[in-house]
Amino acid sequence: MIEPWYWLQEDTSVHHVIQATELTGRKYPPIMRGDCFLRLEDTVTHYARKEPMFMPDFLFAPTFMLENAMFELWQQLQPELRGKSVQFFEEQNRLDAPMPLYWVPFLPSEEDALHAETKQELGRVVTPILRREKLANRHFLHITLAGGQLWLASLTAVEAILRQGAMGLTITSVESR
Amino acid sequence: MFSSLEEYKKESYDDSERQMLQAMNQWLGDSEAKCRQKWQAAMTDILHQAAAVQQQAKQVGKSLPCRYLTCSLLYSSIYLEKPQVRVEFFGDEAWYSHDPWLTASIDVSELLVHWTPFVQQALAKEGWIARYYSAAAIQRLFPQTIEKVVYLLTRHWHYWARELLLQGKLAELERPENFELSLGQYRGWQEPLYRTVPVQDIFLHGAKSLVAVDFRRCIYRGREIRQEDLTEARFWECRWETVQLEQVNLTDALFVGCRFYHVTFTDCYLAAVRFEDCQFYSCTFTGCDANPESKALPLVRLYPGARWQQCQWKKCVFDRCDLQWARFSDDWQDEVTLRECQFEQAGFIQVEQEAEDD
Repeated sequence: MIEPWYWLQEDTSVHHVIQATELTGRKYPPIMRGDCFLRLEDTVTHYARKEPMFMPDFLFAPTFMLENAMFELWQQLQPELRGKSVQFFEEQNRLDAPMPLYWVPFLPSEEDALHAETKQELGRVVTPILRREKLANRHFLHITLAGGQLWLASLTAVEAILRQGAMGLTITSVESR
Repeated sequence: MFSSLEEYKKESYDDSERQMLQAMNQWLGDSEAKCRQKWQAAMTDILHQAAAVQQQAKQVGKSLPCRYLTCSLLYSSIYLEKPQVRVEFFGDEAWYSHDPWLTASIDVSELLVHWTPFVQQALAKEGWIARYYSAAAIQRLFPQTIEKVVYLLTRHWHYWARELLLQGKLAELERPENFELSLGQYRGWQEPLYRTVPVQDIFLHGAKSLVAVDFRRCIYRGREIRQEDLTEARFWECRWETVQLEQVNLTDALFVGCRFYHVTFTDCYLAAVRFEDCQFYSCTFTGCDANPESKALPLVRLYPGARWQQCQWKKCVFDRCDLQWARFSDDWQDEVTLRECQFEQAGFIQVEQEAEDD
């Protein structure tokens, strides 16, 4: 039986979010396609410490990233999920500064998981509709399009994410046919 | 003025949470609450649907037993402001937690009566130094509160499930011996509300547990039962004659249509016990503890008071019993002698009206 699915999007109400100073948009584009991901390596970056500053579970800039505990949860749910790590250090290397670890997650894009009646504009999805037959035995979907990318999650995944007190994310129910 | 989540939680959030949970607990305990009737009716419909599906499967030669019936309060539904409980029917261990043969939903949006004002209060900016305020950060505290709401629901739905059982609503569902109805998190922890376990003999069970066992039409005559744990046990039309029960744990036990003749209950635990349509003739309760707030009970559980409903009494005695929060019906007072018992918050259920809850 197919569960309900949800679209994961950025919570734009979150401000003062940690920002990497050295991740370029060319290497870490907003739309992470397979060829870009293959060129990535585990890396180190810095951030400028500000007060206040939040380190949410989800970052959406320069590309989609998951905080370490959240990435581990995603991998438990879908072991084929791959990732490249980004270790953050405070730019002054202060000993008491947080050193969060984030991951750029990756699954091969599956545009054909979108139902033909999905509404799209300028290469972006307006209202995703999923094909039910593509949803069995999985908990995450990654879809890259000309104008954007989507991450979608099953009810099991969303419930686990929310129970963890996830910050930086909104969820929208998605129809499947 | 708050400048950190830790400070805010300690000085404001925890208090608001406690008040909300207390109010919700009281509201859930109100037997007149429309939500209770609505949710029980919804569950009855779902059980009926499931029985129909089982019948249809049988007609084509398939078997669809229900070993697990899970109810899950969806965190996502609370975030989307349409709270619902997802009900799922599983055939056996192999199917459990990933492949239900039927799913349904119960709209529990009445929870918003308490949840929404709590959220509004929690997300209020007053008291914060402006640049440190983040609604998203405060929302990180919500899952732990929702978990407590789920726990509260499990405690109340445990007794609502018992009502469904007494009304025969579970009877039409084909269930194997180890059936379990539970409530909890979706694909997370589930608390059993009602379960059936293999039949045991109350005297010859060896080391096997008697918890939640059903005893049907048993006759106990001239025996002693000492220090047994009969928590959540259910006795249906059993007959007890000259039996002595001593230090027996009958917490949350259910007795329906039983007959007690010259039975003594000594130092027994009776919190949340329910006697329905039972007869007591020359029985004595001595030093029994029916207080749902007794220190002898697990701290992590909530219990209602003991209840004697539609029972008949003749020459019975309660001696030095703690009957706080207990409920009695019928002409109890004429036929029962009370000696040095505690009665705070105890009361009477009016005959032919729905019982009051604690």
